[in-house]
Amino acid sequence: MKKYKIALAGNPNVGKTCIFNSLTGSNQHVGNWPGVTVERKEGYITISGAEYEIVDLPGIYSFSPNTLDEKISRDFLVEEKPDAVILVVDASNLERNLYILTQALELKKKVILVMNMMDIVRKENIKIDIEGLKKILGIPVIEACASKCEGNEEIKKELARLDEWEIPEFRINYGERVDKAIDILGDFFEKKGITYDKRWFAIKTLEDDKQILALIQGRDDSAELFKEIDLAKKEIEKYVNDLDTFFIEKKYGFVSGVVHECVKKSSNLKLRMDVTEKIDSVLTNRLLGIPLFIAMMYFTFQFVFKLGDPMIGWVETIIGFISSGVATILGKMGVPELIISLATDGIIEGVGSVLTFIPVIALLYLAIGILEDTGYMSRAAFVMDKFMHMLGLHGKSFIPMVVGFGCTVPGVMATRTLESKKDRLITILILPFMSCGAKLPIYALFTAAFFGENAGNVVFAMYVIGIATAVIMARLLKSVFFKNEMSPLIMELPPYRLPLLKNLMWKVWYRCTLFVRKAGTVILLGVTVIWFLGAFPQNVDIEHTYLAQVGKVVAPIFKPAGFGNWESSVALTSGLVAKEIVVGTFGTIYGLSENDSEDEGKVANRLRDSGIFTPLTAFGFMVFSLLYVPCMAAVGAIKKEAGWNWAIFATVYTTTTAWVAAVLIYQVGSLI
Amino acid sequence: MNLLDLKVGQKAIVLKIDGSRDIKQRLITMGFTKGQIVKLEKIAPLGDPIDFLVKDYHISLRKSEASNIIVEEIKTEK
Repeated sequence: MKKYKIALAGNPNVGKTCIFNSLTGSNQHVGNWPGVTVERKEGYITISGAEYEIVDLPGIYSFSPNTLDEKISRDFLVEEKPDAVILVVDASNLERNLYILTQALELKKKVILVMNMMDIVRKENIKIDIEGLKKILGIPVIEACASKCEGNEEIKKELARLDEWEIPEFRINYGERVDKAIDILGDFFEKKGITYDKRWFAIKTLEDDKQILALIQGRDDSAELFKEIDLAKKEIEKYVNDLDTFFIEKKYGFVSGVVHECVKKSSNLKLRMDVTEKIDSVLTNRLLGIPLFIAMMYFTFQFVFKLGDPMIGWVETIIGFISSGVATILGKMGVPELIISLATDGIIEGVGSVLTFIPVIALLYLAIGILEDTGYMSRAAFVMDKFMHMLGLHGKSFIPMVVGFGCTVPGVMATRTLESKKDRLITILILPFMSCGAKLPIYALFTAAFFGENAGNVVFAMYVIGIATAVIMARLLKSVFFKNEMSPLIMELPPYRLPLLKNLMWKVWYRCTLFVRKAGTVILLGVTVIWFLGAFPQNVDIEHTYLAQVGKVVAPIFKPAGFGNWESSVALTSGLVAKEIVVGTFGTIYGLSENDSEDEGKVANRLRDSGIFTPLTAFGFMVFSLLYVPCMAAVGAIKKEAGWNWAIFATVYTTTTAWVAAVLIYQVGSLI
Repeated sequence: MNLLDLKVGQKAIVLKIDGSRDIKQRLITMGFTKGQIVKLEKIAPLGDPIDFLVKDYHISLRKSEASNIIVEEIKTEK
């Protein structure tokens, strides 16, 4: 079967993903781009016996990438050499959208131009001369409206006759003498064995394109090449003022000529802009902007966690049901008890504890999807950018941090909306300090046991300490790791649009499947290890299991913090799997069932009576629980988003921070 | 004058862009070409960033970026 590789490219916010979904339907595959954790979405369609692999590229404004997403798109188009590019543009604004087309054509790509959002064009009474465009550009031009699936058949028709036409001899006129200099340089590169299109390559060197220059740098004859580039630059600079911007200006000049020729706008246009400006006059209002943003975050939080909480209960019930069912069946089959325990207490319950996150994650992605697809997300960044910038973060860091109060895992995943790698990493690294919902039971137990009437204030203090640590760490991390990295804010505020339910569902679905697959593997390993440590040697008190022995080894580390007992260490060690387990472990140690909530008071009493904590060390223990390494699911999420190195770093630095804080509390507190 | 000297609702024509090659190329790519009419749409509640209308698009820039764009004010007829 004949196979084609097709890139789907275009500016952000032009409905590219919408075209992708309606074109490929359910026949999609989500993988990762090599070396980075941005996912690669592929879809397959078969047209008259040939297979077309369609790769949905992140939106780009130009081929000189500034973000990770843009670099991926650029590298795919330039290096992987797709057979053709389906370029999606917002037909209601060709003035800027066609700029990316000039770049694709200069790269000598076979481009199928898809004019999306034709419904708006018609509504705003803009007249576009499609035939004229085809003639000027020499490529197929298709009218489309992805939200109504209009244009699909035409795109498929063009894909089917891909081999029937040649790439047009497209040249932007840079002026006779400049063109001549480009051609001389291009011919030189060709002689030197450069395999890219020679004219494109020459222009890129003249623009000082970073990736192209790096490529030349890596060659043995780089000195010779650079000399030739300098010669050409000197020649061109005789006629051109600013070589850095010359080629971009000329391309825009070409676009403006095409638009002038083929687009007739009527005077009563811009319906959509009017609506957008009206909404913005409220949502980004100087007085209302920030209160409305806070309200929006509050509702998002409520939506996700209030709605998600009961669903977590359902999932827990289902898992409990499966677990006991499996136990009964395996028991009847005569499987040894130890294996049953591994299967149920270890694997099903452990992996189940990860699966309970799914309702929350699904709701979270629904909420984020709505915020993104409507266009509010960039307004949030617009409103909050200054404040977050002062903290060393980005306007968009706010959303993951708010989500982090519920659960670190979806918080980490929500950092995807951040463009710069620096902002993403810092946000991910401080997220564990936002006190997540699972830490609440720990506070509840300890405040009940040691703080009586002040319980509420102590819990509140935990949240404040968490936020303060996050802010300090953000500044610190920035000055240590990302000192010289500037990430300017050049951000489009797209028109407000109604989100499409179909697109939202796609987002939610594939985020959830990714979560189950990736975080699930890490958790499975972790729970099995913890189970083994807790179950062996068999038939002994918990005090003599390997888990307790580990606790005893670990205990001296906490001596300076005042809780150097094995019970705390075991609780904290088991807490690596999930923070709720810290409380459960104390329950087990004091001989009470961990699931019986009525016993909580009793555990608190025994904890107080055991004498291993004073109010001071209890406070230290709580702060340590707040700050130390997040649960395994969160580490798994960090690993997935940022890689092993950062996951390990996060583990070590949060735990160190927690230890230092706990020791400080004990040592300073003892003096008072 | 540069873009920061505009008031809300005021329009200007781009004359040139200063700054590093990187920032120049990024700004021009986003539509701040020579001769382009730019309108200051709105300022964020905390005074930064600022939203501009360029080629029928809203583009937000931090003050540090916007000050690179040298413009000439358009006098309105009113």
